[in-house]
Amino acid sequence: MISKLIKKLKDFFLPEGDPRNLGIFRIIFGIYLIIHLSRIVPYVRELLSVEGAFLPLFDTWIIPLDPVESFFARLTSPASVGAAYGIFFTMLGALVLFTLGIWARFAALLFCMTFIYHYFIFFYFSEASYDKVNLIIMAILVFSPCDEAFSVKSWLRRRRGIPAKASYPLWTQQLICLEIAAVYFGAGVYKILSGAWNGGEVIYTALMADWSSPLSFWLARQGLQMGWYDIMLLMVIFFELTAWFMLFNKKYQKLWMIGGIIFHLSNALLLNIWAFLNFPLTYGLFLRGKVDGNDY
Amino acid sequence: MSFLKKVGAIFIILLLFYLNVDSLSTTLNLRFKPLFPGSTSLLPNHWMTRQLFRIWDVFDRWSTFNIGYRAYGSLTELKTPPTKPTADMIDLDVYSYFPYERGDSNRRLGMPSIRTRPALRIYQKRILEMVKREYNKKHPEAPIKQAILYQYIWQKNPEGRDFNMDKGEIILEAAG
Repeated sequence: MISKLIKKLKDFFLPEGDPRNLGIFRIIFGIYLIIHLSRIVPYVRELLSVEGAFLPLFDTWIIPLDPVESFFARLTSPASVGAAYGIFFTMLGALVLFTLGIWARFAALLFCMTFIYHYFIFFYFSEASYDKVNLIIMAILVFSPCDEAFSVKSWLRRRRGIPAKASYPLWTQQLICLEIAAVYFGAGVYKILSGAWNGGEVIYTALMADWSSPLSFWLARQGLQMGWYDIMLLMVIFFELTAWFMLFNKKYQKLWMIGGIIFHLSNALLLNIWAFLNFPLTYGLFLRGKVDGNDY
Repeated sequence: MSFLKKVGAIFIILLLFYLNVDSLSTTLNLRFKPLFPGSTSLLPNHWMTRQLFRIWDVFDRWSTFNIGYRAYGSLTELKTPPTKPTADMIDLDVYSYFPYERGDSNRRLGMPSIRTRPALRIYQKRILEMVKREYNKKHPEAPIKQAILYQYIWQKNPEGRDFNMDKGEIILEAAG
């Protein structure tokens, strides 16, 4: 009985198998991050350097610093214009290497290090959840075999006639899935307990707020009864609360994923939050088939 | 997988689980009490990692009012900046200095998370210096002497984001 439980836990948390889904995810996640971060290129001097409007989170006159914060304060003090461009393009370069699958794990680590600089000098302003998720996913990928399929590394290995391993440890893939499911679940629980989410008004007023798109304002002008927004609210909470088991359920996961794509696309179209499309990008990691060859 | 790698993997899995549980338990207003003396939350954790894993509280409030910002340039140096923009001031289109949607830019201009700190005023002055410098580069024939940031609070309207923006409250934020 106990050995069966241990085996089940081991199979769930420490699975082994085909790294191709992880390889595909590496490419699309890398492209997503390049697009997401490239728009800052014209603003590096104004927003990320000592010559611009900077405000690092760790500054002695903002908050008293403990040893951990002091370490990050030294690491993230505003750089000169040249250094700011250097750090930024190192981050983008790391993303290119990561996407192509050249020293991908080192590139993921390099991205995390440079992103931390940008986070504490700039991204923390908006406390954007998608940027936090991106950092967590990339930190997990440092330990993953994401460059063992659909990568320059695997192409070179095939050219040299070296066969791939029969299977790879995929605990990192499972860990990303668990983190995504935890975020959905947390968002659902938060909405149930939050006073703001006890009626459709939160959705209706969001349609006319500073994130909203023209489509959003058009929807607000249709004069729908507040009951429709209540139903939308219930659907959002149901969707988020069910994620943690539906995403792992082989029978219903694809159906849930279609709902997830519709949910995130409507967020993007109505609220201009395209960056949250990083969540649907991870759905492929929940789909894991059996190893059917090692020609990747 | 070797034994050592397995131990490392289990450690990272447990760490991620721990950080998620701690972050969730401290942001849901469930009044969890600290398990250990000296801790500020259910589990001992650094606020940085707690903040990193605090991902779910998007749209945690709603309002029937919008908040926005406008920066104006003055061709003359004003001893006391006016409490409201005047007709002879130049709109500096402050949002064009941020590569984001309006909601995100508003957070960067008003920084609701640190509004009580004097750092906000210093940061807003830096923004105004930057905007003034960039404007004067583009218009050397008529440079502005001063840039002033105003906050606007107005009733939301389905007709558009800035509909009746000028009919709400206008607050002088900073001058630089």
